[in-house]
Amino acid sequence: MNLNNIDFLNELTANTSKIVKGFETLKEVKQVDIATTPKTVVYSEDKLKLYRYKRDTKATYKTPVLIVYALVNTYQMLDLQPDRSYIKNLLDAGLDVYLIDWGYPKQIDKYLTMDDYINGYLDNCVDYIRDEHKLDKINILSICQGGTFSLIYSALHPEKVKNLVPHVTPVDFSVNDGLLFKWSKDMDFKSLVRGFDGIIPGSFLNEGFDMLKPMMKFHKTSGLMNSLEDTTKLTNFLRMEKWIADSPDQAGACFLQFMEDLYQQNKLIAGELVVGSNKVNLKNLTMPVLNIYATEDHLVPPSATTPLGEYVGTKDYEIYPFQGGHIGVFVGNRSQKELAPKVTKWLKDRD
Amino acid sequence: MNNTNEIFETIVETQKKSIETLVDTTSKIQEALKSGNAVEKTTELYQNWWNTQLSLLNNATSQTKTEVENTQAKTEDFYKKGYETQIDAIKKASDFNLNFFNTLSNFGKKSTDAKDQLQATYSQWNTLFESWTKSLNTTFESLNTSYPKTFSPELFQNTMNTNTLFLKLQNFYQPYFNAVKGGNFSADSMKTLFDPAQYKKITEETFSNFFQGQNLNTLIETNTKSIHDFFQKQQNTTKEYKEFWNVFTEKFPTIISADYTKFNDSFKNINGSYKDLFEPALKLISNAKDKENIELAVESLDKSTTYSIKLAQIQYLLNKTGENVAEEVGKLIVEKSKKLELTNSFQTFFNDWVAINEKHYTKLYATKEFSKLKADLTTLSLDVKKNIEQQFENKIEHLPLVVKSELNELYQTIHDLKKTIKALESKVNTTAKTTTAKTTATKTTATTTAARTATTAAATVATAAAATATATATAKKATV
Repeated sequence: MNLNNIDFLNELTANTSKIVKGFETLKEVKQVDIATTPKTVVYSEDKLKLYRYKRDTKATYKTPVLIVYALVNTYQMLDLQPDRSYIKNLLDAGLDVYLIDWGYPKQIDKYLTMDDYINGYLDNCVDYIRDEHKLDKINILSICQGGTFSLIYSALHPEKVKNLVPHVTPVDFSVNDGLLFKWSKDMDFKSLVRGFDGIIPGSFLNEGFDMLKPMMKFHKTSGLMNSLEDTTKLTNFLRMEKWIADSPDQAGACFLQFMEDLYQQNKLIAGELVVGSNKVNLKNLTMPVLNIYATEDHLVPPSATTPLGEYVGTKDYEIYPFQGGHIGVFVGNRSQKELAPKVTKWLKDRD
Repeated sequence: MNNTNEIFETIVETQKKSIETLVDTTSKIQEALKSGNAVEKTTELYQNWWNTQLSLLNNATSQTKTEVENTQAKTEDFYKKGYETQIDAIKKASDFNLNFFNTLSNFGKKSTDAKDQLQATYSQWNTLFESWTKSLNTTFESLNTSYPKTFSPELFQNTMNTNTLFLKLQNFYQPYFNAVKGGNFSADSMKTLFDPAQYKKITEETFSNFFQGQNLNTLIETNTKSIHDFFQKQQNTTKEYKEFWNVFTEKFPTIISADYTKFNDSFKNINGSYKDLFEPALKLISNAKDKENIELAVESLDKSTTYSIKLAQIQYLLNKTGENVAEEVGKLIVEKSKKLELTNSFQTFFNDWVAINEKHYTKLYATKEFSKLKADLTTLSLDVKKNIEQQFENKIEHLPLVVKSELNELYQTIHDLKKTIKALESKVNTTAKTTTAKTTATKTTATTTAARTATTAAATVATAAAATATATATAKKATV
């Protein structure tokens, strides 16, 4: 081994030069825009906005689709950049696409409950689309916690949902895989909500997510160092960083019920979850369901997603494993060619 | 003209040029070493470098001064800090070069001396590099304070911190590499080479979130003082306790490094005596808010000290895991050196180090002990925060200000009212739809009835007409 001080100094100065050159590359980066696919607000309520994406041609599907994202982070990851956009792929396939933007809760929203979000906001958006298209039922496509919400909604209002496609959705919270599921068992969420005065900061959640991979900041730095001399690579890196940093705060009442009733007591699977004044029975999911999960998901492990089939009432249930991580399902290279075609074909067969 | 961008660009440009010239000068000095005319060359290089730095700083000063005068007052503060950190960085850089120049002027001595001189140069470089990264980080911190939500320095800071860590790791592992090169590296010699105190610093740098004890000491002191001040008005009861606590916090690190579990038990016993001391005395006080505040302060103190214990526990686990990592990394060096697989790139070694850390710390994070400690730390810190907020509310109660707890009541009322209104709106809409449907149905029935009546009337007329026609025909027949 020939590693000595001079060699190391050379390596260090080379790295330092790279960082310095990075400033030049930064200057060339024009805009770090995400979620640029055109859309308009068609309905709003409190901080919620319902978007309809602009179509240049007529939709080739009779039934529109409503995308329900999680409350954590924002939907913009689904439309990260023009060549990595799940939403654009759905539009290109001929779907009429609507999407809920939950907004950014403030202090006044701290008492919003799961009932408010599911039987209030989500139901009103579904009714809007049904009225607009003069349909009894619409398709729902949902992500992560948004998936859990849409399962609960569809079980309470099955007459309004034609087809259901949850992605990377936690259903069985009793599993002990993944740090998030382990840590949630020991956390005193009542104290947490009280301590944050009813609004859980997005930055607190982000810190927690970062800790799920202990050496995350070094991996990220390595990614950044490899992008410093290439404007396109650096722009793409910064887009992802922009999305990660944009983490809305959480309404305490909804957060508390979600964490206690689901993560700690697993009430959904046990058939004991009450939202509003109604008990949620997954057997009422009598519509076709396509359950998509990521095989290397460290946030929602496969063991938390795959059991859904044992609890639904429908006979038209399909499970689809995607090779990748929680976010990679939507933004990875392979995803652009695989995910949307799978989902759109499945919906077409049931349109 | 966007003044924020221009200030940012000026600082960035200055830093960039500053470090470019430094890197360039260092490379030239290294070349000079190899070529043998180090003394003359270095003098010239040093002078050129110093002049360049001075002119860069003067340019930055005059450019940004104009921008500062044209923008908000708070920018002056940022500028002042930036200027001070620049001067500090330049000073350290000049010390480095002066020392280097001095070592080179003795260059004609024996080879071992040259090696020592190089080591001294290398140490100087370490200091200089750390100073540079610190000055850059300070600049970005200042920018972020002055222009919040405009900059995202964290990403940049992490990059600089990683570079600094890179340096620290190289510092730590260089003796290992030297031993490998000298052919006397083994698993046994590794034990001698391992410096736990130095590696502890690397762990603290890597997991800085868990090593923020300074604020805690301030919190404990503040709460102790508030309790002390309160009781001083009544008696001098807490004076001895405050003195005990000051001594205790000073000796805290020494105590924690001894037998950990025994310390934990004795500390709980000591800590429990706060309640024994204060509870009887609190019964004498009748003023509700004052009493509530002291109870909150005592509770905060209690929770802060419990937090200290648990923080120390989690730090212990992190450091212990760091030692396991260092051991595995050492074994990796042994294996690779045996197979002649060690490369000349420290970056490759750094990647291996990161991967081994990931493995060990993921395992630690997955343990029940870590999960419970982390949860307890979060809860305790938030409870203390809440206590402080409540104490603050109690203190400003007499002022004409709306406090958080009152606003919370208002928010709850607004939420409940909104929900009621939406439910009523929904009922009204449903009723309206039902009424419209009924009215439409009623109209349809009436139309149908009218149509039936008309049909019947028409049929009657038709029947009468037919009867008349028959009668006429019969009458005609009779005539014929």
